[in-house]
Amino acid sequence: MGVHRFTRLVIACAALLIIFSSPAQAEEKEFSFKTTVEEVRLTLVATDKDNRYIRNLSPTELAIIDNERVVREFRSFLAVPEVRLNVLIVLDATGSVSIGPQRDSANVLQSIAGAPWYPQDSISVLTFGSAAPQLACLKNCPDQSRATPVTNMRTGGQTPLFDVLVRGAKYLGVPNSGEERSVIVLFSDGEDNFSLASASQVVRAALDIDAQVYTVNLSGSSPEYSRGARNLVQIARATGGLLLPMDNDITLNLQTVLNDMRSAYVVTYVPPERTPGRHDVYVHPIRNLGLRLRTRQSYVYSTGEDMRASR
Amino acid sequence: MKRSICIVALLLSAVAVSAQTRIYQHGTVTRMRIGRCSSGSSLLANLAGIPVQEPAENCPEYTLVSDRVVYVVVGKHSNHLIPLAEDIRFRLRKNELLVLIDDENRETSLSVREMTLRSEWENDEAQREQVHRAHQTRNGFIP
Repeated sequence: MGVHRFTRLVIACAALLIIFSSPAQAEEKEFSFKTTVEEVRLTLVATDKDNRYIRNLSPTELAIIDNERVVREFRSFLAVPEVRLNVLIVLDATGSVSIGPQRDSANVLQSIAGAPWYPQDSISVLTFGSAAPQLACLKNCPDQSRATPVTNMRTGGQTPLFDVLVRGAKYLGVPNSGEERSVIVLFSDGEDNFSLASASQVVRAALDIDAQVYTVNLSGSSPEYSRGARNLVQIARATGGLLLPMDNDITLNLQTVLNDMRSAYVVTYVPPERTPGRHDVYVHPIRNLGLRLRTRQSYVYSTGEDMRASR
Repeated sequence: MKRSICIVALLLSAVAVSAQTRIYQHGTVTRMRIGRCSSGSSLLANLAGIPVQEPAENCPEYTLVSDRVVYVVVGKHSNHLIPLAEDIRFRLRKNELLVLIDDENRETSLSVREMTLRSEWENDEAQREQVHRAHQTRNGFIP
């Protein structure tokens, strides 16, 4: 009798243990969830009517139009003057083009190195012309194993500008964190006569890595009269960059680009609709219509975990 | 006598003030897109079959939701922007909508392209949203 009683007691204790321990384990499992943050991240630059940068912009001064819908609430809004830049400078050295007075490549590299970079910035220089493209690393460059598809290109003595840019974007890659931004600075006349890719594919490649493209027009022609200049405008506008005239010195051009990048703000928000594919975006002033706000013109929305890669 | 002159003067000044006072409605812009500019063709020209040249320029088009009516209004040129504050003040004049720009203390006029009762517009929006969600669910974009 006593033994039976003891057995019953043990069984009851075991049952109690099971009852009270199982929910705890289940609770632990319930709390080990995984979230997928779906947000859009835009880099924007604000200037006044006279093109002077606005350094103290508030998020209440702007709205974002995402696929026609007005977004006034943002997840975050930050000025990013100290961000690490991952820069690819592309020099078009085909016959029709000359890069200012410093035609000698050593001088060009010296001028680029003379721009006011931060110590943590990464700078690569890609030159293409009649021979195969050449990639020079000035400092802190991305993994050089990614350089092979760029330097192995055959140009056939022609101007495969778009192909070079698409491969250049792949070389830069997606930024490792929100603390890093990618930028391509293109010195060219915008003419292309040999590429498989199109200007739209260049834009897509740049948007895929969240990069702005600044284009420096070496031909001096107006976009109204030159197809090449129109290409440069299209690529720069769609990615939130600028079309710049060629200065006497490459360093001055790069300084303009750096001023622009370091006056930028990064805004994040939840997209108002989860339609996969291309979303058109504009930034619009809330009250002060004299504000000039510039960002890329679109992004590609993917569902779930692909979102970050296709911001 | 003096009293009646004072009363008349007061009445006249009140009339003058009310003529200057503009009564504004309130609304919120919920959508914006870049569309075709208003061609400026009149109803009579359309009825008479006079061909109208399509404008080459693109203009901003806003959907403005007020208490009872939803307006689709179009700017008159590509850079014709209106403030996008949560609450904007506007009034109607003929077939134009005048939006008050607080910061500059002036009005800007936009052409009215469409007017819909808010209840109808909300029904349409809900239906559109349902179709959109059904499409996304069918394609596996929403679990």
